[in-house]
Amino acid sequence: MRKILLKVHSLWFVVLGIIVCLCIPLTGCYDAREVDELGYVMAIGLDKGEPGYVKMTLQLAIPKNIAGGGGEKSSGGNDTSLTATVETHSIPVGLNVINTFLSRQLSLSDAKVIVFSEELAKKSLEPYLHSIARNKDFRPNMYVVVSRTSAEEYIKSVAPKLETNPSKYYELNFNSFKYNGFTPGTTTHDFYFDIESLDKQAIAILASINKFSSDKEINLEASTYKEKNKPYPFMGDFKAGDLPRDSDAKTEIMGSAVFYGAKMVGELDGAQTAYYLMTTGKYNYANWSFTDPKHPDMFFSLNIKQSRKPEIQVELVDGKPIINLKINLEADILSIQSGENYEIPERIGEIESCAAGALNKELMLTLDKCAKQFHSDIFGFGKKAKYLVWTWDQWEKMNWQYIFRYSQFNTEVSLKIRRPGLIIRTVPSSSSDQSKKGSQ
Amino acid sequence: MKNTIVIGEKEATWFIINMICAKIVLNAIHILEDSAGSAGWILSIYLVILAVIGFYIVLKLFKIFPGKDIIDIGTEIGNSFGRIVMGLIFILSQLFVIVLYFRGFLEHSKIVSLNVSPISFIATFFILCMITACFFGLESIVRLHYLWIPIIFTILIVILLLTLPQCQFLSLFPLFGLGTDKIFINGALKLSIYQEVIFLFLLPPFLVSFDKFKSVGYKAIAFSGFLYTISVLFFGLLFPYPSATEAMFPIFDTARILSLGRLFQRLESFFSIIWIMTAIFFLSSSMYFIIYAFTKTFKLPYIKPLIIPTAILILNLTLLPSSVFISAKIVTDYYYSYSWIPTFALPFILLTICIIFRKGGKQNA
Repeated sequence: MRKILLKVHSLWFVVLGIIVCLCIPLTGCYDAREVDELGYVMAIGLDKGEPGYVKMTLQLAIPKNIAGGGGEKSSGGNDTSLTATVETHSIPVGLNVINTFLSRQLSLSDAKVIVFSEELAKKSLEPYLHSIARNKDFRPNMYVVVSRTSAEEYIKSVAPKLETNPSKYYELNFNSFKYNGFTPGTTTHDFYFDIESLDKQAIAILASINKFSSDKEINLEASTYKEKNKPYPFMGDFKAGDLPRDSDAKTEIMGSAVFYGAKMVGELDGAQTAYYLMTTGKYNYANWSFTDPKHPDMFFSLNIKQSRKPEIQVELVDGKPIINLKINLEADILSIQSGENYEIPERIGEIESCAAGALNKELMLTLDKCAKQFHSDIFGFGKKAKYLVWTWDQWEKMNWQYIFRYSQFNTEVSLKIRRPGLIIRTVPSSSSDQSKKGSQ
Repeated sequence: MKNTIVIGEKEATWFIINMICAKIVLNAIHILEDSAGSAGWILSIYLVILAVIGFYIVLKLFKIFPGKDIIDIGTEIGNSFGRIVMGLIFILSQLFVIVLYFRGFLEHSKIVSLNVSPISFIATFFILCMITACFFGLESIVRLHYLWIPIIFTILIVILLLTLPQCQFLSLFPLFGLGTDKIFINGALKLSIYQEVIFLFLLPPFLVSFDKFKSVGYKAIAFSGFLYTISVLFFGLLFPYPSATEAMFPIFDTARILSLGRLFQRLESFFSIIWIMTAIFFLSSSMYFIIYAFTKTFKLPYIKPLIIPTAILILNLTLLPSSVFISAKIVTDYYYSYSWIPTFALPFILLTICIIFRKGGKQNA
């Protein structure tokens, strides 16, 4: 009896083994997609096309040229990517069309960025966003970019010099907001939900091709410093494409595209984008310059971090929002051009209050610009306003998207300088004015 | 049929937990979010309380008939007629559920990973696993649950916790979501998410003692409630209402947004493994108990000859809905609205009959 039972059990294990072994080859029959048979899309660009059409540009990796890892040149010295553009009704159909002239089946699973032209964004992105959300191949952490030039031009101009892999270039470049604060770092996940949300509006990364082809052409005309009533521009007072620079890298990202619903309604420059990051608590750290309080022609620089999440209170008075915002920052000294000894405890407050005052003034301007000019709550104050109601019906009746334009802001920036770097006291050079005064 | 198998308390608990929670990977979270808006988590807590109250009534019935399952209780109350009625209620309700969820799991596989494979081809692999599990029998099924389900749900909880940095706690407001009436009145129908407690009604002969039965029920409901609540809470924190209601497979979407640095992305692959295991355990157990209830209802001596015909019947019924929209509509309109009735209302009716007509061994004694 025991032998019979053992035989039955052994038989079962054999049957089970056969089934398991069969599973391995059979599951691959229909859905098999070999890695070397796929064309990996790294960037997708969408421009306005002929009526009813959209112009889609894809940037694809050339894996054999990327092999060899990082470095300024690819292993073969050839291009590491190719681009293809088609006119299509929709993204999925466009992919099919591109496969009529490219050998490999396209895969979007490694796409890092989707670029919309400003023209298309101003019309509305809604027709394309649902397609992105529906398709599992689009990753939710893909960056959303609005290009001030056409998306096609932007993608074709991307020529990474420090990376052989354009995919890595996109990832590192669009992540730079974590240490410069000039772009919002928006991903498709955030963007899609903000487009549909009643408590926050969407914002996208602003990109462009730099307008200066040589250092002789560089000028500051396109800077936003004049509209902010500043005597001269700081580095954040520019939008993508306008940066005063000359480099082999033609493309740049700076500032953000502001949306109301699915339509783009305006732009913020790099500094204003940093205020957006501070207000939403996404700001990490960045270097800032300020005019020296004692020497108006000189600057001091700080590395500013956000020490705590912003404190936001929203209340409604006569149906109008009163928004109280407190931003807590801390900073390290990077440079003091004037040589003033601000590091001593009695004087550190001078540059602290100078920096905090300058930041607070520009923060107010940014908030007012978004509320009064764009009517767009990109900061998500509406999320706090939801505290004021108990149910969704009450929230819809409040009509936050409409009343936000009448908001009154009370802002406070608190900045504390913590560390002076490797120098704890500034001793002026022997030829400087201060040194001479000291010797007299 | 005399039972020679005795199931441990832990095995039974994890078995019931999986039966209740397997549908988390499908649309249960979506249903809670859709019913209560940003207050989906409050609805989930409310449903746990309702399930506990419902199970308290169930316990009152089973205390009168210690060691007897729901079909035996039917026999005690209404002889052969009672037995057949009870058996058919269980078989038909669970056939309805297994068919809907089998289709749900198949559509999930097709949408998420096997886009090109025909649905019948994918179904073959599921059905082979279900047949094999049924041949191995109840003991193997519950032991596998004890072995794997704690690991599976631990992975699920870890996946949820890893999304914590991306959670936005302000998404929980307005606190009462779509309104207190939607949560506490309309939402009560969603007690159906605990309908799988009905499988526990067939376990008393295998559990032997009433205390074990009681303990298994309360523990399974409590842990399932915890899983539902944290799943709907995290989903609500990651996907704000009303966009959250668009999601076809909320937990899959939650796993998709998870990334740990540049190296560890696409962690939904782990999720795919765990949900397939959960699905196969759920489907195998459901099919086994449908066959078991059938043999017990019609006093048939053997289970094994019924396995393949039942599998073919389930497979055919599963492929009947012409599209995922139809099966999803049936799940939303019927399953989540009425499937609590056999689990919680039926024992209440039986208890009332017992009290009125003074039926039942212990009560009579």
